[in-house]
Order: sequence, then C-alpha cells, then structure tokens
Amino acid sequence: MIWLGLFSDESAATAAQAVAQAATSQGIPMLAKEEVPGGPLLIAAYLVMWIVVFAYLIWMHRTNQRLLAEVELLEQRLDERIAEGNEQRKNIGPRGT
Amino acid sequence: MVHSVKTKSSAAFLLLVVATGAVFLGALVLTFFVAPTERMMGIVQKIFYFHVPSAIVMGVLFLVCAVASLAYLLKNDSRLDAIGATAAELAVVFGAIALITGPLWARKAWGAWWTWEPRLTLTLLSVFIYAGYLAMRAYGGEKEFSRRVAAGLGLMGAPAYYFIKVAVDKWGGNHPKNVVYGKGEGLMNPDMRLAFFAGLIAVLMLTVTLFVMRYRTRMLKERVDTAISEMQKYDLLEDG
Repeated sequence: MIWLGLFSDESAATAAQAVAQAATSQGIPMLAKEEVPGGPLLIAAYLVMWIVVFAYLIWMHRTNQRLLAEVELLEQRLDERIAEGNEQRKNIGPRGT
Repeated sequence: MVHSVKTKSSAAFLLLVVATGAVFLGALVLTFFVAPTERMMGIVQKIFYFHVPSAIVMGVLFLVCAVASLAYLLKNDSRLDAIGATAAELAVVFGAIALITGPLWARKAWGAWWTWEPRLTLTLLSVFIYAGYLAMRAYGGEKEFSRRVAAGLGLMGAPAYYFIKVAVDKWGGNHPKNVVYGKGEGLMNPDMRLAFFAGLIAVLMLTVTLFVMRYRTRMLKERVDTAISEMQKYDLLEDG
C-alpha cells in the first residue's frame, strides 16, 4: 500500500505522503528530513548479494573437495584390499593346496 | 553410452552457466543504463531489480522444499530428500539476500532499517525455520531420523509461502500490495518492467544453476556414504 505508485514519476508526491502516513501510523521513526545518500546503500546491496552468492559457491567448492578426498581414500583402500586378496590367492595356490 | 550421456549433461550445464552469466550481464545493463532513476527515492530504488526477484525465488524454493519433503515422507526416496535439502539451502541463501538488501533500501524509502511489519517478520521467521531445517540435518544425529524430522520442518514452507504472500492484503504493512502490476501502482514505466523481468529471469537462472550443482554434490555424497557403509559391512574398511 505504501509503495503505491512509488515507481511512477506521476505519483511520486502521493507515494511520499503514503509512506509518511503509514510509517507514522505504525510508529516507525521517519527520517524524512534527513538526506540519506542512496549510492552507498545501492553499492552495499549489490556487494552483499554477490558476497552471499560467492560465499555459497566457495562453501560448495570446499564440500566438493572433501567429497573428492573421501572418494580418493575409498579408492586407495579398495586397491589395498584387492592387492591383499591377490596375495592371499597366490599363497593358497590354484586348488587351495 | 554412459560416457555420451555424461558429456551431454556436462555440456548442457556449461551452457546453463554461460547463459546465466550473459542474462545477468544483460539484466545489470538494463537496470543501470536503460531503466530510469526513480524520482522520489533516486538511485537506491535499483535495489528493487534484484531484491524482489530474490524474495520471489525464496518463496518458490519454500514450495519446492515443502512438496519434496512431503514426497520424501511418503516414498522415502533419497533423491526427493536431496531436492528438499537443496531447495531449503538455497531458500536460506536467497532469503538472506532479500533480508539484507531490503533494509538497505528501507533506510532510504521508509526512513528505518527495519520494521516489524507482517511481511518482513514472516519472511525472517520462515528463513529461521529453514535454517533450523539445515541445522537439524547437520547436527540431528542418526541420518534417517534427522532427515525425517527435517522433512517435517520442510513442510512448513507451504504455509510460510502463503502467509508471506497474503500478509500485505490481510494485515497491511509497508510493502505494496502489487509490486509489478496493479491499478495505479507497481512499475509504471515499461523500461522499469523490462529491467525487473530481466532481473527475475537472471536470478531464476542463477538459482537453477546453483540447484543443479548442489543436487549433484548431494547425490554423489549419498553414493559415497552408501559405498562406505557397504565396505564397512564386509570389513573392507576396518583400518578406519
């Protein structure tokens, strides 16, 4: 309701009034007189978005690395067991003698 | 044959990554060079073009998680569990983006960083529910048990989505009733609409890309865990 037409050039004044009215009715501390610079807020918002996405990607990469390490360990153990099995078969002989 | 399918799948994924990057770039160009600067709020309004899509994607992921959780509880299929968990994880990621970028915009638009208005409060609580879902899976103890309890939490996504959606209609608040379209409200300028839809498509494509990556990792982890437990069953891993 408050952003009623906020994005249209035509109704900017109405929207400003709506913001002020609704904020006052909800006890929100309005800082209408204060000039808040929009540029730094915009840059911060876009930075936050990319930081969150990249943090998630880095975390996912680390998870993949851990998984890869587990797979390599499994392969190593499997190779060791196969080698042990072959050794045992060699010692037992072809007919278990 | 298997190799061919894998190659095609990798190529499709690479194409998706490239397309996502291209669409993102296009959306940024539309946001900063095509869409006009809003007269009252100024340049800070451009947060809208990624804040709202992030919130929409978060809602969609709540629903995906809820449906997958219900299906998992009924069918006990690990793929459904992986879908639910991936959706929950990404819902928290995009929820965090929406909840952090929102106050940065609100500081200028509403004159306050945060207000306990219905939509904001419900969104925060919903993200907490999904953070709880992930914590349950990570620290909940026995795998099957923690997955089923988490799936129960995941079901909360459907009502959460509904209440966030109707919050403004039912209880009012600072958010607009119609964000994009509406009689005398929403985005009036066609260039602004174009930038918004480009942003929405870009965020959706990013979500799909991250979803595919994470889902694949989860399924691979599932296979590794199964292999480890099988090997332990036959004493093939007794050395630790």
